[in-house]
Amino acid sequence: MNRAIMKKTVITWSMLLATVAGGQQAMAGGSMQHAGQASAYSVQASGHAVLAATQLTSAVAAAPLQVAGAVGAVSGRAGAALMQQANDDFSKPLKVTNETVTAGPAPSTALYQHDGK
Amino acid sequence: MYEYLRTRNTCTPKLIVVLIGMLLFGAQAQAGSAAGGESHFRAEQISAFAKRVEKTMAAHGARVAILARVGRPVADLPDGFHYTHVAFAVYSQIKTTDGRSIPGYAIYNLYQDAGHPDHSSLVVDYPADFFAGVYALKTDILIPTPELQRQLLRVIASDTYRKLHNPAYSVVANPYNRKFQNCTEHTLDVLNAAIYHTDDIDVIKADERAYFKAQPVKINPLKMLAGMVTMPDLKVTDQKHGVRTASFTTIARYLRQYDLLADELVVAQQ
Repeated sequence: MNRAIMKKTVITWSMLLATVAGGQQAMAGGSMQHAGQASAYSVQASGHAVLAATQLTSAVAAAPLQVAGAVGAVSGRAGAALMQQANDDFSKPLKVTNETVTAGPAPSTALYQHDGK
Repeated sequence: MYEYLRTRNTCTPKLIVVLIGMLLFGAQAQAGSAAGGESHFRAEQISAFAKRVEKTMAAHGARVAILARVGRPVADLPDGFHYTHVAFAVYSQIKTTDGRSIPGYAIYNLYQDAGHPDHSSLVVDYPADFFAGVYALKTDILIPTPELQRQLLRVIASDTYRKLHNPAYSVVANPYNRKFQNCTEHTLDVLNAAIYHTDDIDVIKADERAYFKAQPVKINPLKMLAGMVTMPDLKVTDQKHGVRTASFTTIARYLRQYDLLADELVVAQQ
């Protein structure tokens, strides 16, 4: 490829990329991530930590309440009552806690939440 | 596109490589997919909205529901897309760090990995986590028929749920094949595993090709090119005859069309 053709090729691709780059911002805000943006957020990890600690309940596990047989292990009298409720008529309302339950913070945040004790 | 540039310009100087690098860097800066994204509402608003959604599902007796969230500005959504993320909400006994067991909903998500948006993981979190970072306090809730809920509980609690996960992520994954997967496609695959009583992904894909109508993705071709160059989570090598993907809207339509939907509810900030 001689220098003139090479230069023309470079200019052409540069213009194309510049055009593409110009549209990129609209793209990032306007297309792909909309179809299925699926990034993890945690209330505790996302600046929502302004909530007092007492208002958040951290969960360690969740077991689905299976109909016709336990899937996850439910425990104690409360668990048995919930299981009974889950087996009832599907049109009946279910009980849910008034507490705000949250997953723990992301590892990158959790590391810095300890005060060194 | 990147491959195309490389193969067609083997003699071009480093400028193009540098430009591509700049575009890639810019894309990473804009993607913002790491955990703990910026919040657009006060924590109290998120918490109250999430609890309202939970209580709405509970009031309708939902053991399993499908939830959606608005993760980008509504005005930016392409035609036909109203939400950006979809997941299952499962009525559960939740064990807390202080040893109590409380009733509520756990959310079963497929999330892009922070720092590796072309890779995904299955993550369980809770409504307040799910809605943290949304651009609008609005959700659609799909409550399947009781029999489909029973079958979904069976699948979600089994190895099939994880077996159906393909970590190779594309934001516009073609639901008719297995090459890439996004959150909506995983949701669709789990639904069909429950409906057809199978864990065979080939059977599930055949049924989806036969009965599920995917959402065409209408995007300016230049923007699509830009995305292919700059966004590692935008891959279209699984597509033929235009770009199509599963969406909350098309999943709702599918369930409605085949009488698998008991209730469809909208909860929005008043």
